[in-house]
Amino acid sequence: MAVYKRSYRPYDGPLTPERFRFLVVPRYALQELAESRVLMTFVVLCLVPFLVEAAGIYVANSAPARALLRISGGPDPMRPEFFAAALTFQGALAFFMTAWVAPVLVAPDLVNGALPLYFSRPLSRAEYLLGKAAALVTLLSVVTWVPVLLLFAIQAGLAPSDWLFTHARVAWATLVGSWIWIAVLTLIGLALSAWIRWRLVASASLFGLFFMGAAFGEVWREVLRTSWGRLANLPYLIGVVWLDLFGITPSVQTDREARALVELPAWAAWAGLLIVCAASLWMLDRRLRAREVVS
Amino acid sequence: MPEGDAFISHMSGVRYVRYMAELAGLPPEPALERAHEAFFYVGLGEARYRKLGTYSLGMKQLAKLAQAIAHGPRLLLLDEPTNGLDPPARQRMIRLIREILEVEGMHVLISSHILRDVEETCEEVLILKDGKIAAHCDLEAERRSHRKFVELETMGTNASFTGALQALGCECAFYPNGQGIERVKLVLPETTSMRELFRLAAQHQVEIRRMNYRRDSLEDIFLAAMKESGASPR
Repeated sequence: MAVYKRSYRPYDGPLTPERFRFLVVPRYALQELAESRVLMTFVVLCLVPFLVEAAGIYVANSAPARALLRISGGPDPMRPEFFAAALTFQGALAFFMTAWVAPVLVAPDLVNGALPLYFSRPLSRAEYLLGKAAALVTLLSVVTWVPVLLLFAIQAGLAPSDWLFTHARVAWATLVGSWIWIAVLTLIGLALSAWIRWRLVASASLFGLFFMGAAFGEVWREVLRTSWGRLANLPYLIGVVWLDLFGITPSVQTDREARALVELPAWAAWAGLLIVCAASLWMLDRRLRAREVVS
Repeated sequence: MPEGDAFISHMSGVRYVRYMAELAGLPPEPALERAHEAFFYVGLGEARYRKLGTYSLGMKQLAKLAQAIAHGPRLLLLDEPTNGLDPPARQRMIRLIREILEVEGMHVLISSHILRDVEETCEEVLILKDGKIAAHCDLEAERRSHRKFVELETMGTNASFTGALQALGCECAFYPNGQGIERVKLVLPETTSMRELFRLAAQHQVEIRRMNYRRDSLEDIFLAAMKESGASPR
């Protein structure tokens, strides 16, 4: 039958499983994000450090390659510090990616009142949030734990067989540390996207939150002579958590930055990140509603 | 179908409707097929690849209807469906709603303050006041119950016509105006149709110049309900 002759008819065909229906949200979100050339270029560039580090691991594990390149020193991929540094760098890239991607995830739905359409279907607020978060988490995973775990796998393949067992904690710390950072970035990014309609302002707010928070923490520390102000410094907090996870003890005598990292106890950093996540969830809960009750 | 704006402006029309259909549980392929069908059905087939942000208000209303019907629900909730539509677009929306209502097992709930739209599309009406039911009426039954009050303007009324009306079982009242024209008010019995009046007039050579049958409009019902609930309508 020609399309123009069709009349309204109810749908009697098969339905998708209800529990996986929220996956429609990230699928559409990722398809739209994939149309952005800027983002795709950035994703590719994020893999450049991985390639450099992978080459470094190969050279470090290959005596002929070192001899050929006449390299005697360089980073030691046998140690957890190498992977912690790789994760730190990838984590910074993940922050920039969040600043670019997160503002376009929720705000467009709020600007044109699309939320009632989502929630008038069998989709809960939690599922909507999970769907939007899944899109961002997928992209952040590509630039955080996936490349670092690949580096770990390359190193495990090239190193002596007992290295994998003695450094299993590195893989675990990479995975958990990345997911914590991804959770923090995702929740903050979505919360800002839910409250700020304009992309540039939302991105600037994310930068402000991270860098102004860091500045505030340092001013607090200098004025009041207490390191607790650093609870407002999110990059610092995640740094402390990663050190805790990787089991790295900084040499406080030689390294000024390392000395700073042990000023705040690890539990305080964990609690700080937890509070930030809870606050973001509260902001999302306030904003993501199908209707607004006006008294 | 919400009353206000409810769309994703950077999406094309068909993608938006497909997205909503998939969220309602349709697999991707049927969702795409029905999204196209829904767009043609509401009359936006040619505009389905345009971004929603470029649609006019009337087109957005129709796109909202398309997303509401794409997944083929059996219950459709329409909030002010003719809001902001020009007369042709309004007619089109009313016609679409009527068509949808004709499908067996299909139910449509319309929320509207435009009583004319409600009269044209609905069978039953609930009038709400401060969140409570102020009146509930079956429009068709209302129409039937008031159909029997008839007012005629006749010329050449004679005693035989009057007698014939009374023999038919009508309660009549005559109001002559002195110029040969009479106003006749009738209450027809349940079983008598309007056709009978024309037959009698022809038989007794009486001209019927004007005929009205009075019925309460929805507006009358609405105003009465508001009066009964002790408040003026807002």
